[in-house]
This record gives sequence, C-alpha cells and structure tokens, in this order.
Amino acid sequence: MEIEITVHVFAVLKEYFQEKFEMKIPTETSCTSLLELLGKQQPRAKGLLGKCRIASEEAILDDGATFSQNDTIYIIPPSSGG
Amino acid sequence: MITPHKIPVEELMASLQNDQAGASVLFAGIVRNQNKGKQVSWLEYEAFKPLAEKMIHHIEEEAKSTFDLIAAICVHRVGKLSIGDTAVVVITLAMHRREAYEANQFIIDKVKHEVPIWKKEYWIDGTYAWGHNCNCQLPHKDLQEFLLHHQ
Repeated sequence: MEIEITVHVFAVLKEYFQEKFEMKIPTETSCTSLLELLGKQQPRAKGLLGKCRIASEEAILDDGATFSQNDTIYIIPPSSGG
Repeated sequence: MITPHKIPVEELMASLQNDQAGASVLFAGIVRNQNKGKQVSWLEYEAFKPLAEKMIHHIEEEAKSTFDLIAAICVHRVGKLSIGDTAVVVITLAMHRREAYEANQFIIDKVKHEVPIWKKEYWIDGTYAWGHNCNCQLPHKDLQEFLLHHQ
C-alpha cells in the first residue's frame, strides 16, 4: 500500500531535484528510508542525502518517523549560514 | 529572525538598551570579496524560514539561560547580498563582558552549523558554489543530538 506526500527541497538539493514534487512511497517508509529512496532516484545526490534531515514546518523529524497521506515534508541539507 | 531586508543594526542595539547591562557585544557577519582563493561577486542566502526562526529563538533562549544574559538577538538576512553587506548580526547583553562575549560566539556558532540557512557564492568568473562550513562543521551526530533536544 502506498501514500502520496509532497516534498520540498532546498539549496544544493535543487541541483538534483525539482524544488517541489509529489512522491508515492510505501506506507511505513521512515525518514531514513525516504532519503535512501531519493538517493536511488538521483544516485549523484546519494552522499549529500546521507547528510540531510527531514523536517515538517515545526520540527526536524526523528530518523525513524513515518509519514501520512498528503503530508508535506522538507529535506534539509547541511547548513551554511553566517 | 530571518529578513530579506538590510539589518537595522543601530535600531537593534537601541531596542536592547538596558540599564543593568555592563557589556554589549555585537557580531556582524559581512560578505567578503574572496573565499578559498576565489573572487566572490555576490552571495545569495536561502532559508527554511518557519523552522529557521524557531531554531534561532531556541538558541537565543538557550544562550540567555546558559550565560545569564540580559538579552540576546540574532538576525540573519536572506536573498541577494553584495560585498560589504551584513549577512548576520548577533547582539548579546550581560552584566559583564565575559558572558556577553562567550554567549555571542555560542550563538553564531550554533546558527552557522545548525539552522537551516544556506549560502550560494557567485564567483567573479561566472560560476557558483553552494557554501559549506566544512572548516568547523559539527559532526552529524552532534547536529542530530542538538536537533532532538530542540524540538
């Protein structure tokens, strides 16, 4: 069984993915496994994705967190502010 | 706070004025004209604003309690910045200078390493690169630990 989520990416990830896209994923997909799925879609980004976190608008999600139908999530690459 | 506008440094300083403060430290991160031997033309900063502002607020509050500050504020600019523009400002007020200095460095280090803000450097030769804080980046596990404790 699958669910559909909306994914936003930032910064250097936009070199590899559209800024916003829909994605169908198996239910019970965790944050870690979602990053692995994205790495399979874009093997050149695999190393970078290994350093990314997944967030909602409110918080960084735990690596083992799973998603619900129609969730909107944000892929957070390593920071480089300042 | 995240802003696309020029940071009003003097107004921020004035707004924090407090008669109990014996020390005020201002850090301003400025766009310089070179990095790693390459000439920089301009920078562009991007942020995930909802989460970045929340995390900056947590860092300010953590600094206030850890260093017994009277006030702390951090403002980071986003959008296109030119050489000489101020990209980030941290102001800390304390009774004594030691706490104000230490807290200021604590805040800017955490903001640089942990808050979802990203820098894109445009070089004078027409190429560009996404910024990395690789000279001082915290190990990923430290980042995870920080984030887990600040949700």
